Amino acid sequence: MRIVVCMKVVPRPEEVKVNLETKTLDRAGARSVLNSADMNALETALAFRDAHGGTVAVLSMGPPQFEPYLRVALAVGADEAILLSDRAFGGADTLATSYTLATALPKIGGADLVVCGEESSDGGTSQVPPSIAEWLDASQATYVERIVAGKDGTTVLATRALEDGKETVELVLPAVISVVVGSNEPRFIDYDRWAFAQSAKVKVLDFAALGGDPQYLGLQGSPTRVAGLREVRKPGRRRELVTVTADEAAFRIKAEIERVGRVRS
Amino acid sequence: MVEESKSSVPIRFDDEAWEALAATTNANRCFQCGTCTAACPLADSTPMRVRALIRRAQFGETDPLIWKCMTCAECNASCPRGVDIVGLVRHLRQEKWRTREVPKGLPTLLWGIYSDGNTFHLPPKDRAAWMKDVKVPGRGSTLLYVGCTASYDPRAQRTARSVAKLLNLAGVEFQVMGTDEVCCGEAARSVGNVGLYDDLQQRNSDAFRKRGVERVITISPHSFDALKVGQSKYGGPQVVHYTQALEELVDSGKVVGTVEKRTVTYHDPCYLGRHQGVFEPPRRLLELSGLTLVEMANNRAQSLCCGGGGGRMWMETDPLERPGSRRVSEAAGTGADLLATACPYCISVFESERGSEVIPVTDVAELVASGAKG
Repeated sequence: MRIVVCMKVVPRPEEVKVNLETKTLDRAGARSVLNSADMNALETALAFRDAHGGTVAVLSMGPPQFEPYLRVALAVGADEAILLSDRAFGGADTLATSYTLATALPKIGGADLVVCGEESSDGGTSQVPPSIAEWLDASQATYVERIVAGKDGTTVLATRALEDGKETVELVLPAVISVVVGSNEPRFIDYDRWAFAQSAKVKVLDFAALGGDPQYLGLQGSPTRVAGLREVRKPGRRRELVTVTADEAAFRIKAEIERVGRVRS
Repeated sequence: MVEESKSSVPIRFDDEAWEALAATTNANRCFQCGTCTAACPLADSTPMRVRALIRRAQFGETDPLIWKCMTCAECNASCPRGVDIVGLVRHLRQEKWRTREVPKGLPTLLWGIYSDGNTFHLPPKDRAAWMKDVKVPGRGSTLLYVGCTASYDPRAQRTARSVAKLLNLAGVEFQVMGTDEVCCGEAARSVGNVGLYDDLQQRNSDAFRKRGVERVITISPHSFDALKVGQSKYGGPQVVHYTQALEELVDSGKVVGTVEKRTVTYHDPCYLGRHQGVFEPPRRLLELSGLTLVEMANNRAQSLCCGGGGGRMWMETDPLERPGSRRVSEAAGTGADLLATACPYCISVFESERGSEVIPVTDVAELVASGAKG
């Protein structure tokens, strides 16, 4: 089984500002990090590989400065790393990003299972994983919190976290899944792999190596336009300090929750 | 009735692993006398039996109770055969990182240290927040190493400010690393991740060299121990705890002053006392400040652990297994007005055990600073 984990390097959510004029994120001064949900995706893939065998490759798209982050993924346990890097890929929205990633997959040895995080902390659309599945015409499941091998190695069983419960679906391989953020605790760097991770070759694919239709790439292939942006201020918290017994407090809290209509009784 | 701990690992002899372990810890000298078990502060409240833990290690088996250990070193201090039992526990924990059988939450702790340089999951840019209005000369070869807790924890920040105030009063030229400071690595070592610990020692060594640091004064005894042990391999700077540095300043008359006349009892932090043998400087500081010292029965090398060492600060501890409340009761039993100590973890644990409702908990530097003049 060959698993490919799509990982994005994002600015730290707490360190970015929104530029209201350009309608873009101002990343100046923000440190970068591997997207949180993608770390959960990597853990999902590594745990599956550890249990059933196979290999795990990490795939990312971005500037050459992202390479050290992919080396972290190698130190954590990934077997190989591939970076799609070319100015032609820049300015991509979710459509162009998913096209680029899907186009790269056959060029890097294909994948039986593509594992993504549910969404990126900077874009936050959740559109890329299903879009990759569409470009590949592969099975897909979103918001997965657990996978186990299915019969004969031709399927995986994916448990999805839905708003009103869990759902387990059987996916015929090849398949694309998106993993719920926080669904596992990503393993830490294995320092025994550090030397390997630092010396391993990160395969870089540019436009020439990728091929593909240039009109689907980068800014040109991105129909998304940010039409408007406004600042939403957090509503102030309504604080109330009540000194009563624990039992009375429980009834007060229940009554308050019912009053604001958050509980169906 | 001793509750036997269960392990998923089948019993097997692993001579090679045992030899490697014995070479660094003297664990092969253990003749199973059980003195360690009797000395262990967890023996009363948990199934932890140190002697059995060592015996299991001889059979290549890791006792799952290793994660409860606070690395307080009461066992080391009591062992008649000179076995480094704390080293053994750290080694066994290290093996568990290889097999990924570590308690939940510890990988997340280490990710935070790796990417933020601190144990609090807070941005490095906030690391100098402890300074507030404190002025630092910013020159000289002496470095005040603040550490994660005194940098980020509002309670422990007061200790850092007090030490800086006293250094300033004494006219000591010193620098701080501010937002460039990174974790000393003690948290990583205590939970058994030697890789990250070594990485942080290297990063600190590079920073010390770049700044021309010849002497490091630490706030936390944990930083003191980790940097003193860790930096020795790089031929690094002299590392002292703030109680040692302040004792010199008070002795040489560079800082004088007395505080309101009260009685105080002193709690020896494990990493300052048992691990590094610093027992007298904090006591002398308290007495030179005009306080009357009354000792708890368990003092100096017999001090009772607060429960915060060995990575326990980042793991859940059953309230019935927490040794901190026992120590607070012992302190209150002396009749002293105050409980003073010299470790941010101890203060944090005692205060979370509602120690201050029984006896006010304070820090040695804060007491000295409250009455000091230059």
